[in-house]
Amino acid sequence: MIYILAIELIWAFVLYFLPLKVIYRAQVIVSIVLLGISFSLIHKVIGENIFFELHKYLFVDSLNILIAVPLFFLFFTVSIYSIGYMQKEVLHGLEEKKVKIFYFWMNLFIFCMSVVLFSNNFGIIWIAIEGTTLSTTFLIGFYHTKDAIKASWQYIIICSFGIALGLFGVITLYFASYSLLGEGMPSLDWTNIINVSDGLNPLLLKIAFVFFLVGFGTKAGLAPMHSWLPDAHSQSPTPISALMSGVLLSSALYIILRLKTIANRVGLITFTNHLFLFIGILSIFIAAIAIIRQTDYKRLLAYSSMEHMGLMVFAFGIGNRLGIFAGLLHMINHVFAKGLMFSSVGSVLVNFHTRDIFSIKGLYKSMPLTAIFITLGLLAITGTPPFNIFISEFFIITSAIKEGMYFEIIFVSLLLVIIFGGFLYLFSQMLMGDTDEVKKEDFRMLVPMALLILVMLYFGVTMPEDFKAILNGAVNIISAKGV
Amino acid sequence: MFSDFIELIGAFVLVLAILQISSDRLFFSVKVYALQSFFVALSIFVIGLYSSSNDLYISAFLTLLIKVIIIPFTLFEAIKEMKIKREIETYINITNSLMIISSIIIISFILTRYIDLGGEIISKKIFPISLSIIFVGAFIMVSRKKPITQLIGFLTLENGIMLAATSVTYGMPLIVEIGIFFDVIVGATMATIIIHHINETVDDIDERTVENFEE
Repeated sequence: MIYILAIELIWAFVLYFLPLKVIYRAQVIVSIVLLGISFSLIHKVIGENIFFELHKYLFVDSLNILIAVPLFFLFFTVSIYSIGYMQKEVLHGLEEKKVKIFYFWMNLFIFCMSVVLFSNNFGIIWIAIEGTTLSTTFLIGFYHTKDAIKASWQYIIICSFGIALGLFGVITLYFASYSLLGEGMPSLDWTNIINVSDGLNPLLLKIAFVFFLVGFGTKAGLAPMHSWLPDAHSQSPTPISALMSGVLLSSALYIILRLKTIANRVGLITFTNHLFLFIGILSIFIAAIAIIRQTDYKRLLAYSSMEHMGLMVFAFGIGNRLGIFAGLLHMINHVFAKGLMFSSVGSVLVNFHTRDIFSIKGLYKSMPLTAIFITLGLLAITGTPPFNIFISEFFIITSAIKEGMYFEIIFVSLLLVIIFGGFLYLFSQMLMGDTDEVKKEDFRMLVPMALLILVMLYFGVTMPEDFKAILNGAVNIISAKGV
Repeated sequence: MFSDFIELIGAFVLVLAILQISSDRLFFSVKVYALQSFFVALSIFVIGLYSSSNDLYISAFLTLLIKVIIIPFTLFEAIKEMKIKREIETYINITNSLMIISSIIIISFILTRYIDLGGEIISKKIFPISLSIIFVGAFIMVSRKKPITQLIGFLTLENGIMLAATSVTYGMPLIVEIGIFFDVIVGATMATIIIHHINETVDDIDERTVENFEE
């Protein structure tokens, strides 16, 4: 892990002194190395193992490796994709210096995200998640238009506000744990807190949980505090949209899940589950209403991320083992599906330079390969078989029925149908129709999409043994004693 | 005696937060913020004296350096550069804001009345005080139009959280506190840069409110 962090941090600063052509290629190599290291960590944690590094400040267990490997895979595809994307932007008049700035902040962003995932300490996690806000702020205002600056202002203010509330949650947690563990850093370590979780004060944990849910829920794009999300996702350069939507939201949710596990052990399980169910359904509801009225395809995808986050939170709130399993599976599947969607739609954006759905027509004629990928991604993200999201949504529905939540699941399914309809209608406007324009498609933008499609199909039809073992380990971490 | 003194400082911080709401001049707002941060630093220093912990001295010094000197200085420069004609503009006028805020403060005292914090605690009343400051900061953020006053609201809120952190629990671990200071200073600097960009993009001086950015 220490190597992952070191490579990212050093590379972010070194690239400033390199020529652009070298950066393009070296970025791909760096991301392959990171992916390789994260793969090598998998074997250390199969079973119930926890693996520590750097005086127990960093750790890997089944839960965080489950999010880290898709993160680095997506980063790898995005690194290939950004070559094509940025070259087209440079041709269209973007300064080369700005491309370097883009790479610098993107690597810093990934560094902060790796710290969030691998850190054992809630205090450091808080610092790192604020770091992700700061490192993406300038990326959202990257194009320097009026809308982009507005979006970046909204993003920094709303997210800093939310995360400040999260800090209050961390303080409350520290206050609950330091009477048992003493002052100092160890009182904020996840591995220590979970060991003494029986003795924690339930009332303080309740306050902490609420502040965590609202605070980090802001970063996760959950319902009451989601308003930064559509603007930020639509204004930032597409590679960043894919990374933010795919992994930033998931890692914020990951922190809430960690705290939920602690809160479950002091007997707050009904409380946390009810809050999760409520916020989950509310997020899906708001997203569904927004999706059918969209005219901007990147905003549409942003709301779709919100819907999927809501669905995951709903799954974790169901409370049985299958629900948690389905929620985690959905988290992984969403990373790939959203990565594909943003990549394919991003190629449309760099070629047409408009985000309006109704002013683009006939993509099958002008960009045939991209159009095929959009269609496949569209089917995947709305949960059609044989893609992987179908499997996890199916599990979510089954587990809810098992717990007897008929009304909730009927309502959620209805919303999913509405979203499906909205997606199909809006994207068919772009795909179908007649046009004379023929755009040149860049193979460096097509390869990542093909890779993501293959992964999704693979996980849609089979589940490798190692993956299943890790997934079960993660479910054990969240549900042990609690359920 | 000691806990009374800490409560007194906490009360000063709260009063300054209310004063922040009633201020209608930008320079005055920044001065109020600097004074408020000074009281937060003082409370951290006094708790440091009491518990003779070196970490708290460092934390008090950093608060003094960053929040009393660096951030107010940056904000002053930003305001001078913008040459704002109209001063603070609000969605809710100041009288009504004060009414709303006083009821919010009463509610936060009532809410926390039954919470038994237990354990070794410096002062019980600091918890509702800091909760009120957090609410006041959030209120400033939603009720003001200008980006720069929203930023001041956020910084007020952050002061409330720091007060809670040091006065309830003898401070967070030092590494975490330094990280928090780092994030705050970087965040404030970045927000000032974005305010600068907003001014560049919008030419008309009176259109520089966030409201006009929403189409």
